[in-house]
Amino acid sequence: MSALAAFLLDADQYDQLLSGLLVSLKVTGLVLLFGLPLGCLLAVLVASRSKPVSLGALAFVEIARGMPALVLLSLVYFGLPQQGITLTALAAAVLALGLNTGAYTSEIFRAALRAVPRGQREAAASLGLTRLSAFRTIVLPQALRIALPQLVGFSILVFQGTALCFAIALPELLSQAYQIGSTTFRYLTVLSIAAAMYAAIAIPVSQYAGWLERRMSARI
Amino acid sequence: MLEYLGPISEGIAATVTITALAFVLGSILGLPLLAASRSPWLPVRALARFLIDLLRAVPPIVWLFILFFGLAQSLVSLDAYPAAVIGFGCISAAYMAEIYRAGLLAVRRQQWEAGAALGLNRLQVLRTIVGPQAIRVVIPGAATWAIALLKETAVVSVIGVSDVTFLATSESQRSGDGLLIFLLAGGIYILMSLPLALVARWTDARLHRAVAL
Amino acid sequence: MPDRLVPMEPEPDTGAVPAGRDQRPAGGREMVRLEGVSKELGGHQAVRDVSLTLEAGKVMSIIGPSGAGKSTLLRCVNFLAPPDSGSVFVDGVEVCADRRPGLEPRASELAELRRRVGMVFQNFELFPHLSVLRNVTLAQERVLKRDRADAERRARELLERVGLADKADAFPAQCSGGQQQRVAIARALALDPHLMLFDEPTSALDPELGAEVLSVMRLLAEEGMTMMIVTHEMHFAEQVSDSVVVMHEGAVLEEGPPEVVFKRPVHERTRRFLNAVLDR
Repeated sequence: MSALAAFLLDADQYDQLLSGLLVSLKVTGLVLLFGLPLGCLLAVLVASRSKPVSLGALAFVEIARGMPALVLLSLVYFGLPQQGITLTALAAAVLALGLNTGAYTSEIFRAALRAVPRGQREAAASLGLTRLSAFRTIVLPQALRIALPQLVGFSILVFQGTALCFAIALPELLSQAYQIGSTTFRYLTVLSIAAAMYAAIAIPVSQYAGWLERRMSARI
Repeated sequence: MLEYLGPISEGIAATVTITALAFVLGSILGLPLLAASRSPWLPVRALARFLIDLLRAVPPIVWLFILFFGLAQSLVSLDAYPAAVIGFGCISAAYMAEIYRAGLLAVRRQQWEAGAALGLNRLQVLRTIVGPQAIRVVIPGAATWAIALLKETAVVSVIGVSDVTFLATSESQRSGDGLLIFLLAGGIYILMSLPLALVARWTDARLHRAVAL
Repeated sequence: MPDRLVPMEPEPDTGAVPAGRDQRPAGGREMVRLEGVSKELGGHQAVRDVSLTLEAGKVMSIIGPSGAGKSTLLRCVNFLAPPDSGSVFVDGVEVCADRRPGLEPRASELAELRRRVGMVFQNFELFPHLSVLRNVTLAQERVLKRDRADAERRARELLERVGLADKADAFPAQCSGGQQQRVAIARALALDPHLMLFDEPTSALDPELGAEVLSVMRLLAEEGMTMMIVTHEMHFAEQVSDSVVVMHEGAVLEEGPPEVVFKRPVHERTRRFLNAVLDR
């Protein structure tokens, strides 16, 4: 096995790929850290009783979800500097993919909030809890639990989306693989190894998401 | 604003045809993939399952790179456009196989038994009883995938296909007005996905009504 | 070990003692008064101009065919379903219904009202992500501002009394329906309400499990809790109630002591309803 690995690429090149994978994972983490709270906030705003707030949030969600992530990324990385706002590649990636994540997950959060039975809010009200207190202690924890399998599933898409950062020269996994390919001309080998690395992360996580989903539906 | 709209919208043809061809290819290839994934032979089943998982686990842009750069020095070197159609066609096959499977699973098992009890063979049951019920679950799922596919195809710009994103990128480099140009490009994608979104919403609402009854 | 579900007197170490606690359960004192309560739901008049009174320590059962507005009326009492018109008086607090924007009852008024009223739901509505103990302590801490230790002591007392001391650390999903409903009763009692509302508390339960719940309710009635019960359990209603209200199409058809309503109903419609449910 290790002989085969050594035949395919040399050790430095594996190190280079692994450092790229670490960047991809780091970007994934930062995007989720920014995007998930944003998604939760957007879900609450869309459900707001105030029409302007609700419509404004909905418009934002539809636009940030409706355009390809690559276009949003280009907009932030190439478009903003022309307006005098220059971001590093990492900041641009986290901002663009985070906005995209927020818009997508707001739909997941919104469905989860609606899936908490109305009786739970009524029971909280009958106990005298304020709306805010009922939301924090009763509705939100249950909604998060309902949303969890889909959020785990979505985090795989975020991880895959980090490959788009090739376009803005962030040294993530695909950029490193391409760079090795362009010096060795062994594109097929190095890209296949990179693909295997993506799969080695995405497949187990998606199986975990599926397991969560089945366990959830078994309980209901 | 209009000065940019003209050049960008020339990319609509590439974006739409790649999406449509890949979707059709995937809808067809998805069927044997589904059949294989439900095969009685374990090796066939395992291989199909692995293919479906692998195709969906690796980012589409990586598949495109493998087809375009990876095969460049081999016998079957591909141009960017066919590489895009084949790449997204194969990815679509994996997603469509899963959508077909969800459709079949949504039909209660007793329907197969009821059909068999009437003396129909499995193929007849599939065609006349289970298939028509499954299709109602498949259509909204397929429309949702088509929307995702439309947006995913933006990465073909990276290997040089002149789609909406590619033309927006070059126009923004030329004019230095990237913010507006990419917003316009985003708007074009949203407009293009609108008909698909209506199909998804309409069939999904019908599905919910049918199930509720 | 306490032997009552309802404390006789205020506990010395709970900070805020609800007003009126020291007066109960003085017989004859008015606990509930509904005046002209109406409520429209989904384009149809669910409750029509209902007026009722209930004295402290008494038990009222509300019966009638399904769709008669019984549950909606009960939800009007604590404004879970805000009435369109009329007023609700519970234990010294009066809230007037008004649905016009800006004229709706203030949140503080509703809080005052709900502090006096406990409610038990048809589907229990325990909080599934919290342990049984936490279900009973949560509102004590958040609403009555009791500290964790006091709240847990009170919760354990009540769980003991409803026969579920050993379930304190379980989660609702690990309890039977009857056990869940008894926890729900303990959860409501933990806030020391002066009035308990029961919305078909046994409808979702097998008869055997329903019996556990009814026996806890019987205990509660004997201890002098004022109760309004929407129910289909006619024998329970007959044995436990001081008064029975028959509803039909949103209005009160007749009201009286159980021996009158069940044995010599005034209205033909009541007779037909009772025949239909008792003959089964």
